[in-house]
Amino acid sequence: MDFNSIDTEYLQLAMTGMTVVFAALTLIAVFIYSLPRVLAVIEGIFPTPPHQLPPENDEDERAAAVGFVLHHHRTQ
Amino acid sequence: MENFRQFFETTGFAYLEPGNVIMIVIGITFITLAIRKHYEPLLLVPIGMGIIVGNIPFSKDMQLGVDNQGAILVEDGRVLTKSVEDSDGTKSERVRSRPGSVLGYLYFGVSHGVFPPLIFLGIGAMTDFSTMLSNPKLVLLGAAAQIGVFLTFLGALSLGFQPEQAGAIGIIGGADGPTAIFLSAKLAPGLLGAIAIAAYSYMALVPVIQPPIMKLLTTKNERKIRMKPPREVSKAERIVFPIAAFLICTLLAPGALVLIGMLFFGNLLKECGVTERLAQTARTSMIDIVTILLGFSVGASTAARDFLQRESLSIFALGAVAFAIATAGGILFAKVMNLFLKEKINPLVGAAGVSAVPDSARVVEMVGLQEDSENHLLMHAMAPNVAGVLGSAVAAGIFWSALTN
Repeated sequence: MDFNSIDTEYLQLAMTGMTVVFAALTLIAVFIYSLPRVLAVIEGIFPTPPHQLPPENDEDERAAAVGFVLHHHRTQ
Repeated sequence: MENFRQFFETTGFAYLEPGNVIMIVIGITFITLAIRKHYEPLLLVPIGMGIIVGNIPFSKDMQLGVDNQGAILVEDGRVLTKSVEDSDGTKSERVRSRPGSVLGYLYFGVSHGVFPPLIFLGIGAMTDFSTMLSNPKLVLLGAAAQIGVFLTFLGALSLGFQPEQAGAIGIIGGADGPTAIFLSAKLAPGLLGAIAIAAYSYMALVPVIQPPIMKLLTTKNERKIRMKPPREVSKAERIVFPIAAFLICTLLAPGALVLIGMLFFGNLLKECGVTERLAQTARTSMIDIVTILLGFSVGASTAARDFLQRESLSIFALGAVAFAIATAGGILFAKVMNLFLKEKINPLVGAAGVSAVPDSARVVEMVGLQEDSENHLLMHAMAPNVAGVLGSAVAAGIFWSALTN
């Protein structure tokens, strides 16, 4: 392998490419981080009508209760 | 006797070379690994069978191979035509053409970069970005793993490959089969077979390649780090994300337009909630059909005379280096991030920046469980895993834009 034979143009391409990949994913990370806050502001200006809100979901609580009862039953 | 000789010259035995036999054995080996060891069976069975089909020799007159996609006949620089009488009695000139072979027509989807974006559509329709949305800093690990792509690019240049070939070889480090095939078709079609086989082989070997590197670069205590469970992500976030992320990535790297566009289109079909039928088709029937055709035609393109060259060995060696550097890059960047973070990242998760979804995330889970049987890292590892898909697609777009005249 002869790294001295590599044209500086391609070294610059590699460095630029890595920079662009990092820039793109960093921008995405920043966008994701700010997204909940932006959506909260939009929700404040344009609130979701009550009939469009999703129904209250207590599935997790029910699953936890069933799991507790089963565990209690098996350990007795 | 003469009749027998003439018949013999129409058989494949007359043109069989040692290289064909070697490739047929390789194809059988792939199929055996898929069936007995369950190494990526959905890919290795079509590729293995394609290798066997593509290495059955025939006489040149039969034009059965992938390189016969049909052609317009030309003589002395002039397109040949033939006179045809239409149903109403009028005569017209039609261009004379030679029909392509079935393998050639199937290979069209590979050689013209049609199949990989369709695969990405299906991948988008089955990918859950919520782990990435719940912990955005892990996205940077997917970026860090792409160091394998660019260092392998330089390594390939130093070995004497042309820049376009080096770019296509470097993308093996992205550990993304469709992206590797897409870029090879655009930049280095002559190396497509070797690059595709190398990329898919190493993706199947992720559980073998990654763990030693992960253990070498991390301490026992680091491997035991527990991370906070991911937060709940709202439906609105999951709908807005694919559109916004597509705009960000493609405005920075327009060469990634097709791959990333299809990836996020598929994800939008899944998340919007009103196109479940389309999403279901994209992630099941459609992706299965394209996977069959892609794998089979890539395998059929690996004819011995093109595949068994010294270049192919170099490509395989560079592919292994690419995977190793990508794994190391993700892990080391996680350790650097930990210097500045209060809530530490388990560095093993960095290895999942190699975008072999979901195998490298599963490897992280497995290695993490070896140190602490209650430390489940799978969901955390999925974040850099899917980020790595974006990173490798952006890297491919950069190479395509920069290295195409």
